[in-house]
Amino acid sequence: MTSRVISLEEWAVATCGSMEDVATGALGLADFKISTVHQLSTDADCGGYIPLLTDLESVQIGLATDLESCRKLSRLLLVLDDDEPDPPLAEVRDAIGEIANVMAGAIKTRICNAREGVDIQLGLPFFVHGRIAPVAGLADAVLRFEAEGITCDIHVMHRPHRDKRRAA
Amino acid sequence: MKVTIIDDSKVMRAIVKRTLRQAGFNDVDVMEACDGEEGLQVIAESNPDLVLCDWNMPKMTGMELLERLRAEGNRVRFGFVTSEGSEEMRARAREAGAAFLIAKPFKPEDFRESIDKAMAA
Repeated sequence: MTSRVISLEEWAVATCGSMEDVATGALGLADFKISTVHQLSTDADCGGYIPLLTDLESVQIGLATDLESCRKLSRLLLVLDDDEPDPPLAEVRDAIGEIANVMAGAIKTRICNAREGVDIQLGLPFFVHGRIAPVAGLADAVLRFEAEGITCDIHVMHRPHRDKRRAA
Repeated sequence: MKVTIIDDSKVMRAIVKRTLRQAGFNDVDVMEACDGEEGLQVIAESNPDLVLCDWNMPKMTGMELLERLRAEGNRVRFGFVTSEGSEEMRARAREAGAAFLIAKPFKPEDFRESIDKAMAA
Protein backbone atom coordinates (compact mmCIF):
# COMPACT_ATOMS: atom_id res chain seq x y z
CA MET A 1 0.00 0.00 0.00
CA THR A 2 1.26 3.46 -0.86
CA SER A 3 2.24 5.22 2.36
CA ARG A 4 1.98 8.87 1.36
CA VAL A 5 0.80 11.06 -1.45
CA ILE A 6 3.30 11.62 -4.25
CA SER A 7 3.54 15.36 -4.85
CA LEU A 8 2.67 17.01 -8.16
CA GLU A 9 6.31 18.05 -8.42
CA GLU A 10 7.48 14.42 -8.14
CA TRP A 11 5.01 13.36 -10.82
CA ALA A 12 6.21 16.23 -13.05
CA VAL A 13 9.89 15.33 -12.58
CA ALA A 14 9.17 11.66 -13.38
CA THR A 15 7.11 12.74 -16.38
CA CYS A 16 9.93 14.92 -17.72
CA GLY A 17 12.45 12.07 -17.39
CA SER A 18 10.03 9.64 -18.98
CA MET A 19 9.40 11.94 -21.94
CA GLU A 20 13.17 12.10 -22.44
CA ASP A 21 13.23 8.26 -22.48
CA VAL A 22 10.37 8.14 -24.99
CA ALA A 23 11.93 10.83 -27.19
CA THR A 24 15.31 9.13 -27.42
CA GLY A 25 13.93 5.57 -27.42
CA ALA A 26 10.56 5.10 -29.10
CA LEU A 27 10.74 8.29 -31.19
CA GLY A 28 14.46 8.13 -32.04
CA LEU A 29 15.04 11.84 -31.44
CA ALA A 30 18.44 13.25 -30.52
CA ASP A 31 17.51 16.92 -30.54
CA PHE A 32 14.52 18.07 -28.50
CA LYS A 33 13.66 20.49 -25.73
CA ILE A 34 11.43 20.09 -22.67
CA SER A 35 10.55 23.19 -20.65
CA THR A 36 8.08 24.08 -17.93
CA VAL A 37 5.29 26.43 -19.02
CA HIS A 38 2.40 27.94 -17.08
CA GLN A 39 -0.51 26.91 -19.27
CA LEU A 40 -1.49 24.76 -22.22
CA SER A 41 -0.91 26.17 -25.69
CA THR A 42 -4.10 27.50 -27.25
CA ASP A 43 -3.20 25.40 -30.32
CA ALA A 44 -3.57 22.18 -28.33
CA ASP A 45 -6.88 20.86 -29.60
CA CYS A 46 -6.42 17.10 -29.44
CA GLY A 47 -4.21 14.52 -27.77
CA GLY A 48 -3.68 11.26 -25.94
CA TYR A 49 -4.40 10.73 -22.25
CA ILE A 50 -3.85 7.97 -19.73
CA PRO A 51 -4.85 7.69 -16.05
CA LEU A 52 -2.54 6.49 -13.27
CA LEU A 53 -3.93 5.57 -9.87
CA THR A 54 -2.51 4.87 -6.46
CA ASP A 55 -4.72 4.20 -3.46
CA LEU A 56 -4.11 7.81 -2.39
CA GLU A 57 -4.34 9.81 -5.61
CA SER A 58 -5.36 10.00 -9.25
CA VAL A 59 -3.18 11.38 -12.00
CA GLN A 60 -4.02 12.02 -15.63
CA ILE A 61 -1.12 12.38 -18.04
CA GLY A 62 -1.98 14.06 -21.34
CA LEU A 63 -0.14 14.75 -24.56
CA ALA A 64 -2.05 17.87 -25.59
CA THR A 65 -1.15 19.01 -29.07
CA ASP A 66 -2.56 19.67 -32.55
CA LEU A 67 -3.32 17.20 -35.31
CA GLU A 68 -0.25 18.12 -37.35
CA SER A 69 2.05 17.37 -34.41
CA CYS A 70 0.11 14.14 -33.78
CA ARG A 71 0.85 13.12 -37.36
CA LYS A 72 4.54 13.96 -36.98
CA LEU A 73 4.77 12.06 -33.68
CA SER A 74 3.06 9.02 -35.20
CA ARG A 75 5.46 9.09 -38.17
CA LEU A 76 8.38 9.06 -35.74
CA LEU A 77 6.91 6.16 -33.73
CA LEU A 78 6.26 4.17 -36.90
CA VAL A 79 9.68 5.10 -38.36
CA LEU A 80 8.14 6.18 -41.67
CA ASP A 81 10.42 7.40 -44.47
CA ASP A 82 9.91 10.87 -45.93
CA ASP A 83 8.39 9.43 -49.11
CA GLU A 84 5.82 7.35 -47.21
CA PRO A 85 2.34 8.83 -46.74
CA ASP A 86 0.94 9.81 -43.36
CA PRO A 87 -0.81 6.94 -41.56
CA PRO A 88 -4.62 7.06 -41.52
CA LEU A 89 -6.21 9.04 -38.68
CA ALA A 90 -7.16 5.86 -36.76
CA GLU A 91 -3.49 4.86 -36.66
CA VAL A 92 -2.45 8.40 -35.69
CA ARG A 93 -4.86 8.22 -32.72
CA ASP A 94 -3.60 4.74 -31.85
CA ALA A 95 0.04 5.91 -32.03
CA ILE A 96 -0.56 8.94 -29.79
CA GLY A 97 -2.31 6.70 -27.25
CA GLU A 98 0.62 4.30 -27.41
CA ILE A 99 3.12 7.12 -26.80
CA ALA A 100 1.06 8.14 -23.75
CA ASN A 101 1.01 4.50 -22.65
CA VAL A 102 4.78 4.06 -22.97
CA MET A 103 5.34 7.33 -21.14
CA ALA A 104 3.00 6.30 -18.31
CA GLY A 105 4.83 2.99 -17.96
CA ALA A 106 8.15 4.83 -17.72
CA ILE A 107 6.68 7.19 -15.10
CA LYS A 108 5.48 4.21 -13.06
CA THR A 109 8.87 2.54 -13.29
CA ARG A 110 10.71 5.72 -12.26
CA ILE A 111 8.47 6.36 -9.26
CA CYS A 112 8.35 2.72 -8.13
CA ASN A 113 12.13 2.41 -8.39
CA ALA A 114 12.61 5.61 -6.39
CA ARG A 115 10.11 4.83 -3.60
CA GLU A 116 9.45 1.65 -1.74
CA GLY A 117 5.93 0.30 -1.44
CA VAL A 118 4.29 2.42 -4.11
CA ASP A 119 1.55 0.67 -6.04
CA ILE A 120 0.57 2.48 -9.26
CA GLN A 121 -2.13 1.12 -11.56
CA LEU A 122 -2.20 2.22 -15.19
CA GLY A 123 -5.46 2.73 -17.02
CA LEU A 124 -5.91 2.38 -20.76
CA PRO A 125 -4.86 5.25 -23.04
CA PHE A 126 -7.44 7.18 -25.04
CA PHE A 127 -7.46 9.91 -27.67
CA VAL A 128 -9.59 13.04 -27.51
CA HIS A 129 -10.49 15.70 -30.03
CA GLY A 130 -10.47 18.76 -27.79
CA ARG A 131 -8.71 18.90 -24.47
CA ILE A 132 -9.22 17.82 -20.89
CA ALA A 133 -9.44 20.83 -18.59
CA PRO A 134 -8.53 20.61 -14.91
CA VAL A 135 -11.54 20.72 -12.60
CA ALA A 136 -11.75 22.07 -9.04
CA GLY A 137 -9.43 20.32 -6.59
CA LEU A 138 -7.08 19.21 -9.31
CA ALA A 139 -3.54 20.63 -9.43
CA ASP A 140 -1.70 20.60 -12.72
CA ALA A 141 1.68 21.17 -14.34
CA VAL A 142 2.54 21.61 -18.00
CA LEU A 143 5.78 20.61 -19.72
CA ARG A 144 6.33 21.74 -23.30
CA PHE A 145 8.04 19.26 -25.63
CA GLU A 146 9.48 20.70 -28.83
CA ALA A 147 11.29 18.86 -31.64
CA GLU A 148 11.35 18.81 -35.44
CA GLY A 149 8.35 21.10 -35.89
CA ILE A 150 6.42 19.31 -33.15
CA THR A 151 5.00 21.20 -30.18
CA CYS A 152 3.32 19.02 -27.58
CA ASP A 153 2.26 20.01 -24.09
CA ILE A 154 2.56 17.25 -21.53
CA HIS A 155 -0.22 17.89 -19.06
CA VAL A 156 0.10 16.38 -15.59
CA MET A 157 -3.16 16.61 -13.63
CA HIS A 158 -3.06 15.46 -10.03
CA ARG A 159 -5.73 14.97 -7.41
CA PRO A 160 -5.14 13.36 -4.01
CA HIS A 161 -8.18 11.38 -2.87
CA ARG A 162 -9.98 13.64 -0.46
CA ASP A 163 -10.59 11.16 2.36
CA LYS A 164 -7.05 9.76 2.34
CA ARG A 165 -5.00 12.95 1.87
CA ARG A 166 -1.84 13.05 3.94
CA ALA A 167 1.07 15.42 4.13
CA ALA A 168 3.62 14.70 1.39
CA MET B 1 9.26 -19.92 -35.96
CA LYS B 2 5.60 -19.11 -35.34
CA VAL B 3 4.98 -16.05 -33.16
CA THR B 4 1.69 -14.68 -31.87
CA ILE B 5 1.69 -10.96 -31.08
CA ILE B 6 -1.08 -9.79 -28.76
CA ASP B 7 -1.61 -6.07 -28.20
CA ASP B 8 -4.69 -3.86 -28.32
CA SER B 9 -2.72 -1.28 -30.30
CA LYS B 10 -2.44 -2.06 -34.01
CA VAL B 11 0.46 0.38 -34.22
CA MET B 12 2.33 -1.43 -31.45
CA ARG B 13 1.74 -4.81 -33.12
CA ALA B 14 3.33 -3.36 -36.27
CA ILE B 15 6.26 -2.03 -34.25
CA VAL B 16 6.79 -5.38 -32.51
CA LYS B 17 6.70 -7.15 -35.90
CA ARG B 18 9.22 -4.67 -37.33
CA THR B 19 11.48 -5.04 -34.28
CA LEU B 20 11.45 -8.83 -34.68
CA ARG B 21 12.82 -8.37 -38.21
CA GLN B 22 15.37 -5.79 -37.05
CA ALA B 23 16.50 -8.27 -34.39
CA GLY B 24 17.27 -10.76 -37.14
CA PHE B 25 14.16 -12.94 -36.88
CA ASN B 26 13.41 -12.79 -40.59
CA ASP B 27 11.86 -16.20 -41.02
CA VAL B 28 8.96 -15.66 -38.65
CA ASP B 29 5.34 -16.50 -39.25
CA VAL B 30 3.39 -13.86 -37.30
CA MET B 31 -0.20 -14.10 -36.12
CA GLU B 32 -1.90 -11.23 -34.31
CA ALA B 33 -4.62 -10.74 -31.72
CA CYS B 34 -5.98 -7.54 -30.21
CA ASP B 35 -6.71 -8.74 -26.64
CA GLY B 36 -6.34 -11.72 -24.35
CA GLU B 37 -9.60 -13.34 -25.37
CA GLU B 38 -8.75 -13.27 -29.06
CA GLY B 39 -5.21 -14.29 -28.13
CA LEU B 40 -6.48 -17.50 -26.49
CA GLN B 41 -8.31 -18.40 -29.67
CA VAL B 42 -5.36 -17.60 -31.97
CA ILE B 43 -2.96 -19.59 -29.76
CA ALA B 44 -5.30 -22.59 -29.72
CA GLU B 45 -5.64 -22.50 -33.51
CA SER B 46 -2.02 -21.85 -34.46
CA ASN B 47 0.04 -23.50 -31.70
CA PRO B 48 2.84 -20.87 -31.82
CA ASP B 49 6.45 -21.33 -30.66
CA LEU B 50 6.36 -17.99 -28.87
CA VAL B 51 3.77 -15.51 -27.62
CA LEU B 52 4.69 -11.81 -27.33
CA CYS B 53 1.97 -10.16 -25.28
CA ASP B 54 1.11 -6.73 -23.91
CA TRP B 55 0.15 -6.61 -20.22
CA ASN B 56 -2.49 -3.92 -20.02
CA MET B 57 -5.36 -4.69 -22.40
CA PRO B 58 -9.15 -4.51 -22.35
CA LYS B 59 -11.31 -7.64 -21.86
CA MET B 60 -8.48 -9.91 -20.67
CA THR B 61 -5.05 -8.70 -19.52
CA GLY B 62 -1.82 -10.36 -20.56
CA MET B 63 -1.40 -11.77 -17.05
CA GLU B 64 -4.92 -13.24 -17.07
CA LEU B 65 -4.16 -14.81 -20.45
CA LEU B 66 -0.90 -16.33 -19.21
CA GLU B 67 -2.57 -17.71 -16.07
CA ARG B 68 -5.35 -19.20 -18.17
CA LEU B 69 -2.89 -20.85 -20.56
CA ARG B 70 -0.90 -22.38 -17.72
CA ALA B 71 -4.06 -23.53 -15.93
CA GLU B 72 -5.05 -25.33 -19.14
CA GLY B 73 -1.63 -26.98 -19.28
CA ASN B 74 -0.37 -24.94 -22.24
CA ARG B 75 3.42 -24.43 -21.78
CA VAL B 76 3.99 -22.17 -24.80
CA ARG B 77 6.98 -19.82 -24.40
CA PHE B 78 5.50 -16.53 -23.32
CA GLY B 79 7.07 -13.05 -23.07
CA PHE B 80 5.56 -9.75 -22.09
CA VAL B 81 6.21 -6.65 -24.22
CA THR B 82 4.78 -3.93 -22.07
CA SER B 83 5.09 -0.33 -20.97
CA GLU B 84 5.50 -1.38 -17.33
CA GLY B 85 8.97 -2.58 -16.43
CA SER B 86 9.19 -2.29 -12.64
CA GLU B 87 10.89 -5.02 -10.62
CA GLU B 88 7.54 -5.98 -9.10
CA MET B 89 6.02 -6.56 -12.55
CA ARG B 90 9.04 -8.59 -13.65
CA ALA B 91 8.75 -10.76 -10.53
CA ARG B 92 5.02 -11.28 -11.10
CA ALA B 93 5.68 -12.21 -14.73
CA ARG B 94 8.36 -14.75 -13.75
CA GLU B 95 6.16 -16.30 -11.06
CA ALA B 96 3.32 -16.73 -13.54
CA GLY B 97 5.60 -18.54 -15.97
CA ALA B 98 6.70 -15.83 -18.42
CA ALA B 99 10.15 -16.30 -19.92
CA PHE B 100 10.86 -12.57 -20.06
CA LEU B 101 9.45 -9.06 -19.85
CA ILE B 102 10.61 -6.46 -22.37
CA ALA B 103 9.73 -2.91 -21.35
CA LYS B 104 8.76 -0.26 -23.92
CA PRO B 105 10.54 1.63 -25.37
CA PHE B 106 12.68 -1.30 -26.51
CA LYS B 107 15.55 -1.96 -28.91
CA PRO B 108 16.04 -4.88 -31.36
CA GLU B 109 18.87 -6.14 -29.12
CA ASP B 110 16.37 -6.52 -26.25
CA PHE B 111 14.30 -8.82 -28.49
CA ARG B 112 17.33 -10.78 -29.69
CA GLU B 113 18.66 -11.42 -26.20
CA SER B 114 15.33 -12.29 -24.56
CA ILE B 115 13.98 -14.46 -27.38
CA ASP B 116 17.25 -16.34 -27.90
CA LYS B 117 17.34 -17.21 -24.19
CA ALA B 118 13.69 -18.25 -24.15
CA MET B 119 14.00 -20.44 -27.23
CA ALA B 120 17.13 -22.13 -25.87
CA ALA B 121 15.53 -22.97 -22.53
